[in-house]
Amino acid sequence: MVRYRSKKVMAVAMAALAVVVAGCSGRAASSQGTAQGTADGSGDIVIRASYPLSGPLVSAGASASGAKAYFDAVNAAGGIDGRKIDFKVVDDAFDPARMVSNNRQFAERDKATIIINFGGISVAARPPLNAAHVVQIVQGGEKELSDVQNFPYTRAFVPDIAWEGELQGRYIAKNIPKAVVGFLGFNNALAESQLAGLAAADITPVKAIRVPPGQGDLTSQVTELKAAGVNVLVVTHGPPTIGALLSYMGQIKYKPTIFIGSPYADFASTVKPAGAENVVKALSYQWFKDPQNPALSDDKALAQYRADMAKYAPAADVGQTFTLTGYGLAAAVVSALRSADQISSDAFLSAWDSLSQEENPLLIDQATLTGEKDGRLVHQYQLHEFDGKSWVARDSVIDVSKAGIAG
Amino acid sequence: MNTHLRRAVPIGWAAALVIGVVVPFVVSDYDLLDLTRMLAVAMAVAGLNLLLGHSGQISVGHGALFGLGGYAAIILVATYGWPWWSAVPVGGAVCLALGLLLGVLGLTMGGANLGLLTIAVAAIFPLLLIRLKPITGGTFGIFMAHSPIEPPAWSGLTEPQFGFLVCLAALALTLLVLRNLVTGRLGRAFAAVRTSTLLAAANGVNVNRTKLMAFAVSAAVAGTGGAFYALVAAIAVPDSYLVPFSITLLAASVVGGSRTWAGSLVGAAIVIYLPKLAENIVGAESAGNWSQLVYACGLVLTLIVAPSGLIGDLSRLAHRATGPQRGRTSSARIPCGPGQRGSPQQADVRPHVGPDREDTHGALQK
Amino acid sequence: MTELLQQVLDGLSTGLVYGMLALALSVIFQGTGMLNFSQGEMATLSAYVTLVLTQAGVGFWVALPLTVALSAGGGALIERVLVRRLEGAGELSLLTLSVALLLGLNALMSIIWTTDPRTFPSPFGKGLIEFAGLHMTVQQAGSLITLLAVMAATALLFNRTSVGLRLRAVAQNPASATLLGQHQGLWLMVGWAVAAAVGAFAAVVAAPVLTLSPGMMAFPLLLALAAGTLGGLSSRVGAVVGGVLIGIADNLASRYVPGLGRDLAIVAPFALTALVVMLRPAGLFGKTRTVRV
Repeated sequence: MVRYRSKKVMAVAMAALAVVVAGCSGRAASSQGTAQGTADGSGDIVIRASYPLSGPLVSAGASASGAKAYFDAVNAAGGIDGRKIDFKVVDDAFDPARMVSNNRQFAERDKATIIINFGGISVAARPPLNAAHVVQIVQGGEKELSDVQNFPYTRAFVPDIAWEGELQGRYIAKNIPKAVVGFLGFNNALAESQLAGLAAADITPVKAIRVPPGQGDLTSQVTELKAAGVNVLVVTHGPPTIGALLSYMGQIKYKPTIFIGSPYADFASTVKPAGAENVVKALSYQWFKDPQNPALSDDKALAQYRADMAKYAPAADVGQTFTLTGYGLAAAVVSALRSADQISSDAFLSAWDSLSQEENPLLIDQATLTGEKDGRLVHQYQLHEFDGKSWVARDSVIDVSKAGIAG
Repeated sequence: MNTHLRRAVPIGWAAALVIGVVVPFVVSDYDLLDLTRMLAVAMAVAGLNLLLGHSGQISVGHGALFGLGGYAAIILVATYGWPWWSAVPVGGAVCLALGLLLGVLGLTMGGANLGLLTIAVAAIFPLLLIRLKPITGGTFGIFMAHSPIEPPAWSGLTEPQFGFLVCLAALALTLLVLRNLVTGRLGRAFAAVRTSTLLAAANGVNVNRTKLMAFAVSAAVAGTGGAFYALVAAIAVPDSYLVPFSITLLAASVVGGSRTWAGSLVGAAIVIYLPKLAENIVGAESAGNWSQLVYACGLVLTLIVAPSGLIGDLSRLAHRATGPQRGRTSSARIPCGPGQRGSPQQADVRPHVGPDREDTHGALQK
Repeated sequence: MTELLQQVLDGLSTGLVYGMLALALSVIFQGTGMLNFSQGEMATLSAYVTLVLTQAGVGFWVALPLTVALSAGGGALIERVLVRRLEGAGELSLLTLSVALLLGLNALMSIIWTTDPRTFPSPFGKGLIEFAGLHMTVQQAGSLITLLAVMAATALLFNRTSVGLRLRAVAQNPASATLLGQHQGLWLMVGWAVAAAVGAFAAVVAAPVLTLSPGMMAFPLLLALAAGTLGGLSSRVGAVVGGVLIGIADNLASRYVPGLGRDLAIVAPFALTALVVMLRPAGLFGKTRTVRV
């Protein structure tokens, strides 16, 4: 006998639907809006961020705490021309669809002036924000984020990873005459950019191995590199794999000249997991400070960073470079806001692009932020070598926009 | 039975549809995107329900099928300029084809191995997307300036409103088709195969063809949902379709209740809104892990408190409260497929992930 | 040639971890009929427990048995508190439960220890064994021996003890075993304990190589599922052999098959598994079902 469901089932389903609907805002709300962050010089400056606070790239979410601490510190010191920054972070779990949805709510519901996004998925999220003329600041090293012509409202804060590749290529060409170059990285766009950079310096690796994230055991890849006689290895592999990789290479006494990609050369990502003895003599073109680098223990900007973090985001991990990067990104946003004529998307962007020799707590010594045609602010690198205890600068600061690499 | 079904007008569903039609005129555009995503995901969960709840097979790869449908559709629209309404069926058809292939492979490998086959597809799919860059756009995927599902000028609707209504209509149609499928002759074949393949074969049901059909239809439905999902959000990126998404869909089907069509909506609502809800409760910053923990605990609680899914068990409770003697309410009752009886038979819902343990296991629990 | 042999050797070391996980999967699968997606996360939790113990000053060789005992207790607890409630609800619900456990344990570990990778001390030291141009780290060799020992111990437990006999009886025919007075629930619980203990060994030997993080075992678990299917989840030997085969196939195919490449390496083990299973649905060592329709 077939029995039928009571209509109460549907009542329950409809109640569930009603709950969902109740979580949404009414249509009228969007038309009214609030006069926040508009050019009339009143109200808070609305900044929103979508970060992976869960999911595969949760470690990058630490950036959000850094940004929050910096904005809170600015607010506590009186804000920007007396206007407070209204900053909130929402999780996107590194799902592009969630990022697009978050961005739409930031733009339409919150009337955000500036939206901060993280990572390669932001590339796909550019069109709606550009159509809405809302500033999208991306914390990502993808080359595509320099496309200011087609996406005039998108700016990348961190440098294009291809520049680092070209710097490495030039170094290899100049200093290692019998180099047999190998490359090891993820199967993503960053690896492509980096290889393009190496190619621009006429370096073609004999082995370019790209591994999907999540694969932790790289013994087979190391065997392949070693058998091919690779004596210069360019690595852009991130944690957790890079530590295990270097440690294993140390154990089997395979010691090529290693370039570690700047995003991952820090103590938390590489040195501690790998063991300092396995990182000795590694090279890295760095552009930001590692908060755990003992060579920087007296750094004033880092001391301020630690103080701000302790006060405004005590739960955050200050030893993570992601935390510091978020802090530095917020500082760059505030720099542009302070020099903007008014608080609007266009005024902000023009201020961002014309920043010149601006100090930033994130950057290595003597480096500053300067806007260029590519929309990015960071163009200065310095070759560092790991001496067994800390990363030590080995050369002068190079500006890629002046060295014929960027732009 | 059919006349009886037709007599039992699904007033509840009609009411839900009415509410659905009203929603886009009440809710703001920026909230509609999530609601529309929910409808598209509900299609995928409904497809899974057909597979899990009605044909007793398993798939840990519906996230990949969902993604394949999305990619097929958005590539046709963005790269080749097709109109959206012609691209969506192609998205479904591509998945139908892959579904048939997987179904045949699964049957050859033996039903127990379908789980592995589908999880392999889920794991390989995003890697292939990155590799096939010239077609798929690689890591960045395919993205468009705005959703191609544009309202006709005369309608006066905004793009999100139109997108929502289109997806609502598609979901309603999908559920109607699926419901008719499982209440018809094929449905009885499904039920027979699910209960006992031996018995089904003895009664002249072509077991392999029935299973294959269920898998193919389920895949096509997931692909259609995926096509809408990608076209409404106007992006398709590999990071949306990783293994955890497939697992989430599976969980959504079970939690919503894989034997009920309303369960697909509840399951989809959980996929889209539970992370947000958790975020609101425990706070966004440094609390992503707490969201996941809340999600996991919610899942465990649902499984223990409501083992046949939220809707499955609520309806049972409701039924018990109403009592069988109040026959006059029968006209408003919602048919949810044959075999959807009271309680004892719930243990029948056991897709083949294990060796042939048949009924000894279930019997032991009593 | 030397590289080929080295690749096989590397594959063997990697594959043994898959094999251990597959063995744990197999023990639970035979007992509860459940594909335990959370096996990897359970194992990772065990590795964290070891780390906490060693950091508290407990010597590694004391911490290891402690961890294994705690893990076994934890596995039994999960069976008693969660799995048992759902046994009547069908395999699909059990699978979902394992998904929930996966998500929950992963979140729990991330909350307690953060997602930062941690160095995990190698209990075997840092030497290198070289022979005929091939090499193996002492860590790899030690892991190999440990894993073989654990497998042998598991085999003994199942084949030579009365506990094992009862476990097998309950797994093979729950109804008859119950009729014969075997307390089914108790033995299922023991099965979970054994699986958790085996998983703990897998994680403790894998952690020095992979560096410890909450998601450490996600990828190995995927390949362990393939390994179990390839060898036959109904066979413990099959699971282990499957793991080794998968490890070697993964390395050789992604290294030598043109056009496959490291980024699509995972295709090879799954393709191999699919091929084998098409010919032998129960896997290499599994018992073929007699009922065919």
